[in-house]
Amino acid sequence: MPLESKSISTFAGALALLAVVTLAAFFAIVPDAWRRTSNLFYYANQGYQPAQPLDYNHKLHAGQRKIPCLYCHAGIDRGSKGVLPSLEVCMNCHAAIPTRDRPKLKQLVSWYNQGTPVEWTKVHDLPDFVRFNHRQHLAAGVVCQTCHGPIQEMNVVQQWAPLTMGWCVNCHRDSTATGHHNAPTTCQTCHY
Amino acid sequence: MFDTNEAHEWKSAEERLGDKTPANLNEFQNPELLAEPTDGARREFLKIMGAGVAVAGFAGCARPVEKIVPEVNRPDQFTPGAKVWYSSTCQGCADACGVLVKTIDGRPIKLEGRKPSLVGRGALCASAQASTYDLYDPERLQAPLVAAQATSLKAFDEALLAVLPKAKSVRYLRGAYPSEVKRKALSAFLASFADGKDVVWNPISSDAALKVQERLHGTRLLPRVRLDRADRILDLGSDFLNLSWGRLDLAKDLSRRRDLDTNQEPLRLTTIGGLVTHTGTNADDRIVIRQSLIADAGFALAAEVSRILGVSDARFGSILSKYSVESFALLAGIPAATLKALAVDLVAHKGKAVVLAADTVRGQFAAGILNILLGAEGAVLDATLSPSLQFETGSQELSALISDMESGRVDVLFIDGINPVYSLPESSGFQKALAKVRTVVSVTLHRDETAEKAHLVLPTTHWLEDWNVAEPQKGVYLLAQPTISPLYKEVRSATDSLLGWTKALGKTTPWQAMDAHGAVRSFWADLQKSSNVAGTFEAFWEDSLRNGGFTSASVRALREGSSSARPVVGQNLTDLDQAPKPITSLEIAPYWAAGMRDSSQGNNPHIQELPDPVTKMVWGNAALMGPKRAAELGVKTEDIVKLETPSGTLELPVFVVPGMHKDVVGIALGYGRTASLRMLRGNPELPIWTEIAYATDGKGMASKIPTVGVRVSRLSGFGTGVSVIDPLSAIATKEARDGRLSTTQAAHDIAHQEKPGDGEWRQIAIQVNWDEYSKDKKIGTPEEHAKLFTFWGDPKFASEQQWGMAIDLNKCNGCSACVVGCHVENNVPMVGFEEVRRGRDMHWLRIDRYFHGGLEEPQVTHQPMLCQQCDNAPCETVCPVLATTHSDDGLNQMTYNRCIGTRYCANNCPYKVRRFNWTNNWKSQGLVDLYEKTDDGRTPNAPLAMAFNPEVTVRSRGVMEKCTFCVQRVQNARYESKELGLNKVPDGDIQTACQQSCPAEAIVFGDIKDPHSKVSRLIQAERGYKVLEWLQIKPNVTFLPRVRHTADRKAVSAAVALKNSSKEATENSKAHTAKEAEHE
Repeated sequence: MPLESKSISTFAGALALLAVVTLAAFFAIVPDAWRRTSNLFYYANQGYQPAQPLDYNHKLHAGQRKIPCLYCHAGIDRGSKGVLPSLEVCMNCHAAIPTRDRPKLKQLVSWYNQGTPVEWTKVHDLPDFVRFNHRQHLAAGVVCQTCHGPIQEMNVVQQWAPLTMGWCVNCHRDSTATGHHNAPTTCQTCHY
Repeated sequence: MFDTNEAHEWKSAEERLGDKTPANLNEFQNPELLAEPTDGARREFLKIMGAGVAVAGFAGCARPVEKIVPEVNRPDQFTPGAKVWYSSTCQGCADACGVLVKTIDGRPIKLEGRKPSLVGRGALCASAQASTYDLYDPERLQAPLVAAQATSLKAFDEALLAVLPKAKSVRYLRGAYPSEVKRKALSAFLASFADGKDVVWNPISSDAALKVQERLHGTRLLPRVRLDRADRILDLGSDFLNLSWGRLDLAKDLSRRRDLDTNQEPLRLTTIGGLVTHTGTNADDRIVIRQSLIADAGFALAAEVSRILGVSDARFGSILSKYSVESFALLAGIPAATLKALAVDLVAHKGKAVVLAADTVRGQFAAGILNILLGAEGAVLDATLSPSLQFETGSQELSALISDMESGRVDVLFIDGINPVYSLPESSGFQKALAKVRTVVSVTLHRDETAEKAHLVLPTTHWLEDWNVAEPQKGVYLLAQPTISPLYKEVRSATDSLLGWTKALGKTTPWQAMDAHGAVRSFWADLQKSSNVAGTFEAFWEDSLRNGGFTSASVRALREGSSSARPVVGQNLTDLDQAPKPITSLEIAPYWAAGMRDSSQGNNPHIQELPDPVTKMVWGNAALMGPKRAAELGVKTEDIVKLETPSGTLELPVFVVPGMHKDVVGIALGYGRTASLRMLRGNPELPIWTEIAYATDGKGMASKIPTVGVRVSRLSGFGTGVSVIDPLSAIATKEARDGRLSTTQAAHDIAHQEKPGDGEWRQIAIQVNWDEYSKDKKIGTPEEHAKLFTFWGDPKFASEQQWGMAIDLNKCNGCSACVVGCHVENNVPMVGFEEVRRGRDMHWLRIDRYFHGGLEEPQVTHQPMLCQQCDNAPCETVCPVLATTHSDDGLNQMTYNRCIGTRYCANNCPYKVRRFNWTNNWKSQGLVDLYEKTDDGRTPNAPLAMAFNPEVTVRSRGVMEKCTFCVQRVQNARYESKELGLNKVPDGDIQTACQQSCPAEAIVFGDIKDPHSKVSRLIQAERGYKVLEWLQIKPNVTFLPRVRHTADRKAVSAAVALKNSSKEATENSKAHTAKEAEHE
């Protein structure tokens, strides 16, 4: 018995080692492997924090300077989509803020002057078969942080919530149960 | 004559005769329809991929990285993702209906009729619904061509302006759009030349109507037809629902006069002709005679009407004296009593009867006389207050142009917006004469047949990218504004070009402004002055833009008044009745099919895949013939028939259409375009008979370009020069080989259920006679039946509102605008000839066409069929993965991402309205691949991807889909009501896409839990019924039966016989009645 159990544990150990080595090799070789594999797990893209072309800091603007979200994301309460501000909105303030020797600001101003738009990488990306509408959620009094997390503390934006169907439905159920809102949970609330 | 006792409906001649041919088998019966895709690629793919799926899956599960690129300077008032509606005016045809254009993120997504518009009145035809595809069509010409080489606008202008200063004789050939701005710009341009002429021509013309109106009344204009004031309509082969000027208004008024809740008595539409036309399917009475005899029937009726009225007008008296009902009836082989009864009926409704005729001189002349005799002038026809300016064309100018071209006098010929090389018959001489023109300039959206022959080709803007003004009816000014900037840099509108060229030639332009925008504003400023509108110009302009145009209050009031009858001023009218040689053999009757019409949208798959209202055929035309003729020839649907005419031979497949005259073969014009279709290019499986037809072209194998269908107008010998609708004598013989065609008429067949136990046949599309209906409003509808055993019980839904629909079959005319409206709204894919043939069409909403009665003279009912959103939906019961479930507002919801494609639901659906994506349809048709992204996250083949409605998921392969009652519209309305603090969506706030587009107002959608909603009132109507109600599945679509206002021929004939002492006539009619009895 002990012998058998020993051989089994050796075998299992070898297997585990092989698995670890394979995985390590996979993560070492395949580019962007963590993001690819994380999709296999339940919390699909939670924590996704891609690098952005412009080093914009929510912590500074929304947290310390307390600029209201809708100052930059104006119109998010009118259309369905998320709205990212145009460079023009940045320049509303930055036209009056000296760039001095700050390279990030210089880049911002030069892009604006050249008319080059910023190609942001989308962080919160729902599948194409899901209809999410910012307008209704804001109209129902849902605050940005409910889904986007403590965005005012983020230096670089990351996906805070799992944004899975279960996560959405739980909130809809809870808010209906507590009588806050009559959030529907039928399929075609989001799928059509 | 009509067998109205026969309650059983049927869908095809083959079904009636018990034949089993692919054209009448449904998707579950036909082995050919069930075949694997041609290359068997799916199975192969599964075999190979089965092993490697884990490996591939691991690497392929990456999320696509998407980019968000906000504007540097966001336009004012612009919100990403929000819908913005613009008022505009359709320029698809010369009718110029008012439209609303829905744009999202600056892209026009969907067109809808603008309700307050005086033209169209909220309706929009199938062609207009499909026109967003034309805008984004990847085959649009994107740069000018000089000597067939793509170049820039600058190079094009240089090439043109090298020619123009030397040119003396310049002709501008264009379609008949009633645009005053373009006309002015054009006349200034043409004034630059010693001999410049504007020639207006349309394939679907009203030349003959204009000519006859001018001769009869001295004014060359088309009266506005007010069917809302008509009790009787006689259609002399005009097919007005499809071809008349202002056809959507005619359709609307026809259906309003058939509304059984607002009319004491519905109107009666009688059609005369040998073809089963779109309008003919909507007739209360059809009188079946040869196509070549239609005008004679009109003259015979006019003679009879003038005899009854005792009027003898010298100016056409001599013409009418040549005709009599008796001799005509003998010639046409119909009972004289039928025509006499018709004449009596028309006279009895003098002042409320109108006659509409096909665009032939004789037909229009007969109709003109009848309208004068019957007092339609000034009552139903308005030619003095606000007459129609739509379709003002002139074939005389075209004939003059062709002879000028022939003599080599024309230096420069512009051809703008039409395709005469394709549309005109070769016998007109246009194609030959074109070679003698020194410079041919084509101004076009596509590289069509005419552009192929032009020296210089200028791509125009699509009308959704441009400014314009239309005056479709006198005093009604409509504005068209751009809803997107031109997609391509090197395209330019015709108006801009004309102004630019005029200036370059050193001549004065009509306005200071040098573009269409400035021209339209200048025009509008003049309009403000001439209409005495107070206030600033900017206020007037903004107001007009918002309202889609301007009509002064005085014109509005005028339009509602009663016009006066124009005097008859014509003299020596006898030449208008030049009798053509009568045809005694078989005759070919070319006709314009609904949807395809003049083929200006031949490159649009929405239109190609729109089932014809009569045949339900897609992607091609066929030789339509009656069952008797087919039996005589020994042919069946899909057999190839050879049609030899004195001027050429056609070979094409047969399609048996019940109700056709025995001696008439109908062939749709508008097919056989050689300009290639993208869908065909992406699809190697072509309808093989197209090449056969070309191989037997007189020139041998000259052209093997695959085409959709056969071009009819290449046959020469269409008597009157440029007209292509004159019948032609022919000899038909059966060919040994089989042809193929694609029809949806039986693909999704609903079983005619019998009630268990009693064996009684239950109708799907109920039609009754007005006489019976006026006595018993419940006639024909299924009786109440004892509650049968049910699995389901009575479902209760939590929401305060539940959605339902009512469809009035008495109003629906089968025009299919709803089908295209639904497709564009819901991103429904087109699948091509072969897939439709396999029964895999994707129409969420189809219009089933049913025949009632005998094979020779059946009656037709159109029934829109869509998901019935059953309370006890059978599809939901069988779904193994809960992809289709019920919502709390009573909708049968389809969750695409859950669907695993078992297709159990489609099999269990008794209405056959569920559609399965056998392929990634958009990709496999070579149109656009939404699942492929370039490295920077963009979609390749971009223009077409812009056409999709972003509010609806684009379904991928392996997924079931179906009508959702436009759930995106329901959801939006709910949110908007919620924001306004309303508990419920107010009645009428939600309009489904099909309901919105319906010119006949046949579809009503709303809350069925509210007893006062419009839909509830219709559901409660006594005549309402539900299809397959006895299955206990509780469908939520109520149908209202077709109530046919058929003439009581027996009663009227008896009256006529009494009144008429003429023995001969009575005997004649008796003989024919006996003959008829034989027929039946």
